[in-house]
Amino acid sequence: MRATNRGPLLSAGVLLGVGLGGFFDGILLHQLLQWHNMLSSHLPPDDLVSAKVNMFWDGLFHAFTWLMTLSGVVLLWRAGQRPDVPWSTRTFAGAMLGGWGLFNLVEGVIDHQLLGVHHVKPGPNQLAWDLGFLAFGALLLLAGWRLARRGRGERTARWVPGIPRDTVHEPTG
Amino acid sequence: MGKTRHTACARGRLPIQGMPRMRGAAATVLVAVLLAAPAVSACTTCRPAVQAGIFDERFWGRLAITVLPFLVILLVVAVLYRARPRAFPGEEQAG
Repeated sequence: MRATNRGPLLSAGVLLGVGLGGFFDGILLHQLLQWHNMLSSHLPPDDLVSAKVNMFWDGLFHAFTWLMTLSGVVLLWRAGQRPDVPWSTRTFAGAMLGGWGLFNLVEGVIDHQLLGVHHVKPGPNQLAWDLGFLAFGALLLLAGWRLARRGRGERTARWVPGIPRDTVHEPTG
Repeated sequence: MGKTRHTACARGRLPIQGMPRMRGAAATVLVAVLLAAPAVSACTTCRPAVQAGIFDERFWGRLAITVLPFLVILLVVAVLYRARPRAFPGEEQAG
């Protein structure tokens, strides 16, 4: 049987890419560089109470990001147990890159452009930073799509029917 | 020594006699000490203000704003998951 159903692996990779991309954004831009917080345009964190309220919403953002990552791990685990899903590194890596790009695009368009709840780097050049963030997301999405496309020919499942799944590889030495 | 330790850990116990009972007590003491630490009760004066700032009339709107990008992404992922496998030319369609 040839494994041709890439959907489960692609969706697992995209969810993991979204999750890890979200953590990258939250850790680097919210916490380390402190360029923005979740609601920093509506509620500037310029006193302790405002900073703590923003911290709460940042935490909620991270909680949803964590759920995306967990869902990705679950989907990946299930994909690895299906004989119709190809176990393709290019497909998976491409989906992860694409997922990160998708996160940047969706979050950038909704939060930065449409709702304006925060901007990448508030200040005189905030539009340029926001557009750069979107361009970076588009580049990631394009690179991921091209990489995943190159994995279309990989059609071997991780689990092949007829080979026991509970085969244990004993360590040598 | 290593073997004894491994067996003890496999049963979920520490290798020292009497430790299983002590672990519960130690964990209780640790939690009590952590809860009594100054960091837990820091900013006692500003906490009500923080709670009021979070759970005000804008809470549900802000929650919707925070969730919205993830809902859009989940929609895309659902479409990807259900995408029909495509066959190369000359290949049989799977499924």
